[in-house]
Amino acid sequence: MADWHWECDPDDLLDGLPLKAVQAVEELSRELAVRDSMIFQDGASFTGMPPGLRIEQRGSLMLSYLTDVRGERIVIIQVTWFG
Amino acid sequence: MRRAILLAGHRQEGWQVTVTYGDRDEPLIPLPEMTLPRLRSAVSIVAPSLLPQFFEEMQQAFTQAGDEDSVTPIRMFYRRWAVTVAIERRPSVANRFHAAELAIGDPDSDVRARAIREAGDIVRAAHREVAGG
Repeated sequence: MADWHWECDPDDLLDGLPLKAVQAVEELSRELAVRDSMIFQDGASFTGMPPGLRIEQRGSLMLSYLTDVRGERIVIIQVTWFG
Repeated sequence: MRRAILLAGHRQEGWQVTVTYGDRDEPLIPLPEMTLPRLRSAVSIVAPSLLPQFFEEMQQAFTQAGDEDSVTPIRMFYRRWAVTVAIERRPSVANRFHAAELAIGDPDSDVRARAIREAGDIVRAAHREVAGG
C-alpha cells in the first residue's frame, strides 16, 4: 500500500475513549487506509475530486474521516462510541 | 444583524411588505426532534438532493438492527443525519464545510491541512450540538 497511513486530527482525538473503542478505531482505520491505497493508486499525483467526508460504522463505532489522497493518508476527524 | 428588504412594487396605501433575511449564520430551521418524520422533513428542506441516500441508509439501518437484534444501527443513523442537518441548516457553515471538502484536493499540503482542520471543526461542532453538549 505504498506510503498510505492513517492519523487523527486533532492528535488527541482519541483521548478519553475506552480502550475497546481505541482498538476498534485502530483496526478500522488500518483497513480504510489499505482500501484507499488500492482505490487511489499513485495518490501523490492525484488531480481528481477528493471523496469528501465519509462515515464508517462497525459494531459500536461510528467514525468520520477524510481522505487526503495527495498526502496518501486518511484522517479521522470524529469518533462516536455507542458503547 | 438583520437586513430588511423592501420589495419594490408592494407599497400599498401606507403599508409595505418586507422580507427579512437573518444573519448568514442564522439556521434555516431548528434542529429537528429525533424522530423519523421530523428528520426526514428536515433533510428534505436543507439538503433535498440527499433524500435518496437518506432512504437507502434508513433501510440499511433498520435491516441491520433486525439482523443484529440491536438498536445501535438506528441510533447511528439518527446521529449521522442529525449531524448533516446541523451543518446544512446554516448556509454559511455548509458553504465553508463543502469548500473545505474540495480544498482537501489542493496540491499545497498546508492548504489541505487547514481544510482538514476546518472540516473537522465543523463536523465535531455539529456532533456536539446534536448530542446536546
